Amino acid sequence: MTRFSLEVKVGLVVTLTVALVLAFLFLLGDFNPFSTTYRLYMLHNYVGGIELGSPVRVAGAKVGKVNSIRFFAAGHRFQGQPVSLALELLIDKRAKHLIRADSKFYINFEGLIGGKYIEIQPGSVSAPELEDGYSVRGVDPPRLEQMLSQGFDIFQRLTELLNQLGLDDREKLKNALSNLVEVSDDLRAITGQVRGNISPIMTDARRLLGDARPLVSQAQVVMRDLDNVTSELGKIKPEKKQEVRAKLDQLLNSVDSLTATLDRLNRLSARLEKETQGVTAESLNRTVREILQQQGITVNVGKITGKANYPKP
Amino acid sequence: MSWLQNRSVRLIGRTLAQILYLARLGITIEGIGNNLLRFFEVAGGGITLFFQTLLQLPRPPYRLREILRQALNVGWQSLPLIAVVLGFLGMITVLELNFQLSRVIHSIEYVPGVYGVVMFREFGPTVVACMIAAKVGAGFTAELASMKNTEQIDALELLSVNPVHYLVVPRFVATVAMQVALSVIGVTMAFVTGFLVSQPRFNFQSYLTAMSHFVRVEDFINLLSKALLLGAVVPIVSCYYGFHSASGAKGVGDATTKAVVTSILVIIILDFTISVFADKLLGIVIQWTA
Repeated sequence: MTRFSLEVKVGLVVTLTVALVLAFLFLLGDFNPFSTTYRLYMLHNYVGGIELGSPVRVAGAKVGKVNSIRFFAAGHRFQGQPVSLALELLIDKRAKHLIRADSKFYINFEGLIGGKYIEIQPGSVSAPELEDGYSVRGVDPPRLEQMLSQGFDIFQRLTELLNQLGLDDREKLKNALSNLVEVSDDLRAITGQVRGNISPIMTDARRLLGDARPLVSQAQVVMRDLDNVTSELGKIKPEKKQEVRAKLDQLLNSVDSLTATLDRLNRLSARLEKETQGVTAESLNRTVREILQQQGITVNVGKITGKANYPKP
Repeated sequence: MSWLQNRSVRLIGRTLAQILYLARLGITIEGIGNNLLRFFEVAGGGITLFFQTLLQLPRPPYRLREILRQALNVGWQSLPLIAVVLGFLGMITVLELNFQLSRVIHSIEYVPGVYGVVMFREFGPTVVACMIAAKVGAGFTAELASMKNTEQIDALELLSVNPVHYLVVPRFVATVAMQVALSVIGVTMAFVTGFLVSQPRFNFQSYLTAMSHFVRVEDFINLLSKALLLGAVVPIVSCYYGFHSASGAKGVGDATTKAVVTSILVIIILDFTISVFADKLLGIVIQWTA
C-alpha cells in the first residue's frame, strides 16, 4: 500500500482536476456531451455590442450562444436589404421546433449594466421549422447613443425656443395650455358619453346584421340565378341574339306601357280614395236610395244583399 | 586681508561641501547600479535556467518516480493549505462585493458574476502561485542550497549527471502540473464557500446562472494559461537561488528568503503583464481558429 500511495495520491489530484475542468466547461456552456446543436445565421446591419459567446434565448430560456461573427463585403444584400454582418448561432436542437420561418430575432439588453443577448420569439405552428444553416434577417436594435444625441438636439432647440419667447408669448402659451386642458376634459366627457351610447348602437348593429343575413342569402340565390341566366345567354348563337334583342325591346316597351298604366291606375285609385274619403256604408246606402227614388225606383237597399224584397207593383 | 582670508575660507568650504555631495551622490548611484546589475544578473540567470530546463525537458531519462514524488510534495501536501486559503478568500471576496455593490448600485444581483470573473482571472492563479512559492518554493531553495553546501551538486557534475536535468526538471514538471490542478481545485473551493455566504439570496441554480452571465469560457482559459505560466516561475526562481546560495546556514536562510520574495514579485509582475496582453492574444487566437 505504501508503494502505491504516491501514485494513488497524485492520480487522485489529477483526476479531480480533469473532472473539475470538464464541469467548468459544461457549466460555462461550451461543452455539453449530452446535447446536440444546429446552426442558424442571423444577418444584421448593426448588432449593438453583441460579441462572441453572447447567449441566445428562445422565449427567455438560454438555448445557445453566438459562435462566430462574419463580415460581408460592402453592398451585400439579403432579401433586397443591405446587410453588413452575420452572427452564427449555435442552438440546442431541443428548441428547434419553436424556431420557425415567422419567428422574430431580436437583440436585447439584460439591464443597464448587463450584457446583450439574442432573443428569438417562437413562431406559429403553421410556419415551417428553420433547418440547419438557414439565414434569417434579425431586427437591428435601436442605437441608444443616436437616440440620445437626437433627444439632446431636440431639447436644446426647445430650450432656445422657450428662451426666445416674450412675456406675451408666454401668456399665450399658458392660455393655450389651459385651453388644451379644457379641451381634453371635454373630450373625456364626450368619450364617456360615447362609451355609454356605444353599447345600444352595437346591439342594434348586431340585430341588423342578424336581419341582413337572410337577405344576403337571398341575394346569393339571385346572383346564382343571374349567373345561370348570363351563362345561358352566353350560349345563344349570334343570329338568335338579334331576335332576342328585338324581343327584349318589345318587352321593355310593354313594361313601359304597363308602368304607364300602373301610374294611371295609381292616380285613379288616389283620386277615388280622395273622393271616397269620409264615405261610410250608411251614407252610401242613403245616396243610392235617393238616386233610385229620383228615378222612381224603390228598393230596400238594406236588404239588397240579403233575401230579395221587391215592392209590389 | 582678513576680508580676503574670510572669502577664501568660505570658497574652500563651499567646494568641499560640493565634493562631499558629489561623493554621496556617487555612492548612491553606485548602489543603484549595483542593485541593477544584481537584478540583471538574477533575471539573466533565471531566464538561462528556464531555457536550460526547457532544453533538458525532452531528454531521457524521464525520472517519472521523482516527478511523482515532487508532485505529491507540491500538490497533495499543499492541497489543505490551498483549500483553506482560497475558501476563506472566496468568502471574504463575496462579503466585500455584497457590501460594495449594495452601496454602489443598491443590488447584489451581480455579485456572483463579478466574483466569478475576479476568481477566474486574478485570485485563482495568482494566490495559488504565491502560496506555492511560500510553501514549496522555500523548500526547493533550502533543499538545493543544502545540497550545494554539502557539495552534492558538484558530486553530480563529477558523475556526469546534469544537475538541471536531475534536480530542476522533475520539480519544474511537477510544479507546473500541480499549479494548474491546485488553481482549478482552489477556485472550485472558493466558489463553494462563496456560495455558502451568498445564502439566502441565491440558491445554487440562480448562483450559477448569475455567474454564467459574466463568466465566459475565455476566463476559464485565462485561468489555465496563467496557472501554467505562473507555475513555471516558482521552480525556476527557487532552484536558481538554491544553486547560487552562499555557504553556511545563513547562506541557506538568505537564499530561501530571496527566493520567496523574488518569486512573489515575479508572479505579480507577470500576472500584470499577462492581464495586459492576454485578452489581445486570446482575441487573435479565437479569430485565427474561427
